[in-house]
Order: sequence, then structure tokens, then C-alpha cells
Amino acid sequence: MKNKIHSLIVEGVLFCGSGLGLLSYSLISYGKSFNKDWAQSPYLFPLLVGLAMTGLSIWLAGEGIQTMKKEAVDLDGRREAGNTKKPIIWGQISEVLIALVLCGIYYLLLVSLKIPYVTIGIFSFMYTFSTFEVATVIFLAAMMAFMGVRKLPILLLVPLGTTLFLSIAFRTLLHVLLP
Amino acid sequence: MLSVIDARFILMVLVGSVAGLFVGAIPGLSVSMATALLVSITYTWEHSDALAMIMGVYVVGVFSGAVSAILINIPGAPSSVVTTLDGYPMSKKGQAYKALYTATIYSFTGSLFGLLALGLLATPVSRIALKFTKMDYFLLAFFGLTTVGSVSSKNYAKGLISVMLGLIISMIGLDPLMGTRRLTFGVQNLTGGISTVPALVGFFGFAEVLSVIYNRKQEENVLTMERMKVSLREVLKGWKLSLYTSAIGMLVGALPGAGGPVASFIAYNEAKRLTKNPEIPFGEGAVEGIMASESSNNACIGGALIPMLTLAVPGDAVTAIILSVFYVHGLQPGPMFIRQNPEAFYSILAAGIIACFALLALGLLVAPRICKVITIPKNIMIPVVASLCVIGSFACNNRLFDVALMFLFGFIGFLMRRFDYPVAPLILAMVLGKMMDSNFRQAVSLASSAENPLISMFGHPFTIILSLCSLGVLLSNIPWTRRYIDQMLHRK
Repeated sequence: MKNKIHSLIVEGVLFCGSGLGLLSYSLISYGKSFNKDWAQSPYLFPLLVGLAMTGLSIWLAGEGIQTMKKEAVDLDGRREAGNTKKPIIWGQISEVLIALVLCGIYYLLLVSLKIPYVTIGIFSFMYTFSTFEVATVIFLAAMMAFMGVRKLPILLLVPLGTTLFLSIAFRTLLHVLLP
Repeated sequence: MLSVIDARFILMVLVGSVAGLFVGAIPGLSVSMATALLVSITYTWEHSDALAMIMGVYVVGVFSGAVSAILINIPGAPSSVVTTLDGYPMSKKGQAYKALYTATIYSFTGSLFGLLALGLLATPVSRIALKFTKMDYFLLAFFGLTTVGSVSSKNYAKGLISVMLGLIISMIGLDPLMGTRRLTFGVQNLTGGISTVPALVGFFGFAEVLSVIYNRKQEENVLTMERMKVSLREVLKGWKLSLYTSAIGMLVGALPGAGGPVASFIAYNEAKRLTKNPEIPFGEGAVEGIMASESSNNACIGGALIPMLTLAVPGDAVTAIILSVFYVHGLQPGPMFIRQNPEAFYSILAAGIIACFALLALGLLVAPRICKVITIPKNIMIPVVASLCVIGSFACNNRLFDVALMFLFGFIGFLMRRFDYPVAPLILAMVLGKMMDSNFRQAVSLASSAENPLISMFGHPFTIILSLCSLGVLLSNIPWTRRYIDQMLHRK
């Protein structure tokens, strides 16, 4: 039976690439800089970190190769090695990706919506709302619907109530600037 | 110390304590996440107010992780993992109230022990730290990072890779000595470096949101709590064990990176070893298990603050965040900190002690009544937490770029959790990176002009001790050397 490449090897290769990338960045930047004294160079520390990263990634890949060898010799070893590893469930990964897309849309709304500040006075209490409040109500409702909330009153009232609470608590009372 | 306490200060601690109770008890919200969010909110406050609130959240938040550990078998904080071993079995036997009562009393004694140790030891440690050279500071941080890599992950290489990632993030922006741009790749917003707050909110807050979405199929059972009569004398029987495990917690807390989870595991094993004939076996509802776990993880608070205040080396993720609060408020922890800023030091100490009493009151009066709150449906709570993450990351610099960074770090943090890369070493490295870089280069620069560079760099007594300690930790964690040592020991 053909063995699949152990995830530690893949991770090792990935980090080796990052380490080598940092090494070459440090060397190239050092070469371009006018300061040729390594002791004072701003690229000394990145160089050392790059070296360490490359070494560690080789160690990680080495552990992956050893585990693969063990698994090849002893099929029971596969179960043993698998004990420490959490299986990745792709269905759940896709849910995480959808959540990220929703957060991306929230971010885009915050960046692109240009709603002027609106202040409502209720007796002596002044409530101001703007882009953040509108974007957050939309985001909260969408995210809750995605997470399985199906009752319409909850989908309407919780986002409105929460946004109002956050807005009053942060913008009005704590004077925190909101997007 | 009394001069820093006024009604406003006490109110801030109490507000923080109440927030800490809920944040710690609700699985999915963490003390690290709450303190990270608080950094941005308290940005414009007086530093004593900010520290008062953060200490309230910290002290009570660490304790209240035990509430959900006891009631729903899910620790609200990583340091309460061990409390589930005996707390939940006690709840299943109808002794949830007794378990919570014990957890409250011993969290209180543990926290108080740690804070008293902080009060007593901070000044002597500062005096020793005054003799440290640039190289010593670099090595101290290096030792901390090698230790955190070893205790926070099953795989040492993964722990160290997290450290390296943190160091890389810390290097982005202007370099601390020459002001040269590094790793910005032409992005103007990166010139000032990566702010700690969006990174912290991302790695702890948003990563938690994504992890909950990933694991949301797992449902938890909430056990009901019936009030029962618990004798204080019976609970206080374990005071000797509590003192011993508090001392363990304080010492482990002072080790950079080790923190509550490690302390409570060690303390639990010690309690098992020392309690020869427990009334109920460990793991099946032994009160001694809760005593050991809660005393030690709360004593870590004071322990973790010792290196943070005297050496600017944080003991755990929360103290790393508190360190960033200091920087945000223009305070510089280190050997001269207590001498130059006694009021800030006493603010922390006073806030911690007030929070201990708040813990006692909240633990005995409010915690038994919050069963309903800790089970807020995740499909409502998680979107709200995501919005809080946006507020927290934006508020520090008022830049939407930081919000984008927070989302990015959150996703990286989520991937790290999935692939068993610990986040705590990354955060510690990120906070310590600039200090390490500048101290190392200054030490190398000084040594390069000395007659014997090696002796100039490594010739001081502290440097030798720290170098040997770091080397020892590194070698003892490398599998090949560990195997070699095992073989040598077996041969003997």
C-alpha cells in the first residue's frame, strides 16, 4: 500500500521555504544597504531567525520521515502516530471558509459604506450612529442565519439590540472610535 | 499602596471582576481575548484605571474558568482543564455546589499567595536585574522562548516554529536601532510595525470564533446545581496542600510561557502523590484535585507578573498583553520600574488584592447562579464576539487596516490550533522580539570593539548561567539528545 506524505513533511517544506525566503531577503537587503558591518546591520536578526527557521523545518520534516518509516514497518504504528493528530473534517473547514467570507463582506461594508453620522436626541440623551451600526446589523443577522438561527424575531431583534448595546457602550459611554 | 486606592479605582476593579466572571465562565470567551480587547478600550484611560480593570478581569477570569469546568465539563480557561477531572464527576454526583465552593476558596488563597509573593519578591528580583548586561536580557528572553516552546506543545519543533513566526512578525516595520524598514514590502501601513492589539485580538479572539464554528457540532450537557450545606472547616482541611500547590503555581508562573495549565498539571500530580488515602479517588471527584488545580493556577497570576514587572519578560499570554498596556501608556517595565513608577506597581498589587476579595464574593454568591448564562447559544454569542473583535482591533489605531490584519491573524491562529502549533509562544516572541533584537545587536556591537569579543559577550556570571540554562532546555528537548541521555541512564 502506498503511504501518503506525512503532514509534518508538508509543514516542514512550507516552513523551510519561509526560512530560506527570510534568509535570502536578509542577505539581499544587506547587500543593498550601505552599512556593511553585520554587528550593526538591521538584517542580522532576520538572518539568524531565517537560519533557525530553516533548521527547525528540517527537524520537523525529519520527524515526518521517521514517522512514515515507522508506519511502513508497522501498520499498527499508524494508529499510534494518529493518536496525537486531529483529523481534518473538510465539511467543517468549508463552514469556517464561509464564515471568513461573511467577515470579508463585513469588512468590505465597513470600508465602502459611507454613511454620514446621524445623531438622534432623546431628551438629554444623544445617540449617534454611522457605518459601523448599519454594517454590524447586516453582519450579525447574516452570521446568525449562517449559524443556524431560523426564528425571524431573533434574527431581527438580536442584531438590532446587540448593535445598539455595542454602539451605546463603546461610542457613547466609553468614547471609543468605531469604524 | 493605600494611596492608589480610591472609590473609582475599586469600582474599576469590581467592573473588571464581574466581566472576568462571565468571560472566564463562558466557553469560547477567554481571559486573553478579554484583556486584548480591553487594551484597545482602555487606550485613552488613566493607566491606574486601565490596570485596575485588567487585573479584575485577569484574577476573576482565571478562577471562573472553573465554573464551566465543574458544570459542563468544558474548562472556561485552559488553566482549568485539570479542574474538570474532579469537578465534573463531583457535579454528576450532585455535589456541584461543594465543588464550586472549594474552587472559590482555593482560587482566593492561590491568588492571594501569588500576589503576596509578587509584593515580596519583585524588589529583590529588580535589584538582581540591575546587574544584567544587554546580552543577559537577550538570553533571558531567549531562555523564556525556549522554555515556552517546550511546555506549550507536544512537539518541541512546532513550539519553536511558533516562536520564530512571532519573531518574524515583531521584525516587520522600522528596526529599533537604525530606523531601517524591514519586511514591509512597500506596504505603507506596515511601516510602523504590526500593533500588538490586532494581533492579540486575532490570535486569541477571532481564532476562537473560527474554532467554535469548526467544532460547533459538539454539544455540552449542563448539570443543575442545588445549594447544599458545606462546612468551611471541612473545606479548609486542605490548607497545607493549598500552600504547597500555590508555591508550585507561583514558581511555574514566573517561568516565561509556562502558565496556569502547566502549573495545575504539576500541582495535581503532586496532590495525587501526597494524598495517600483520599476519601474519593482522584479523577472520580476528589476535592483535593480541585484544591491543587485552583490554588496553583491562580497563584500563577502573581508569579507571572514578577518577571513581567522586573525584567519586562512576560510569564504568560495575559501578562504579555498587560505588558503591551504598559507600553501603550508609556510605562517601561524592567529593573528600574518599581523605583521609577511605584504608583503603577502598587496599582497592580492593590487591584490584584481587591480582585481576590471580589473573586471570593462573586464565587460564593454569583457563580452558583450563572449556569444559564454560560450556556448562551453559540450561534448568537459567536457573531457578537466577532463584532467585538472588529471594535477591539480598530479602536487602537483607528485604522481599518488593523481590522484586516486581525482577520488574517485570526485565520492563521485557527490553522495553528488545527495543526497543533501553540499560539502562546508566538505572542510572547512577538512582544519580546524588538527587545531581543536591539539588545542582541547592542551586545554584539559592544563585543566587536572589545579585546576578546567572546569573553565580553559571555563572560559575566549571569550570562553563563542563562546560556547554560537555555542550552540545557534546548538539548533536553531535542529527540536525539533525549534518546542519548535515556540510553546513558539505562546503561548506568
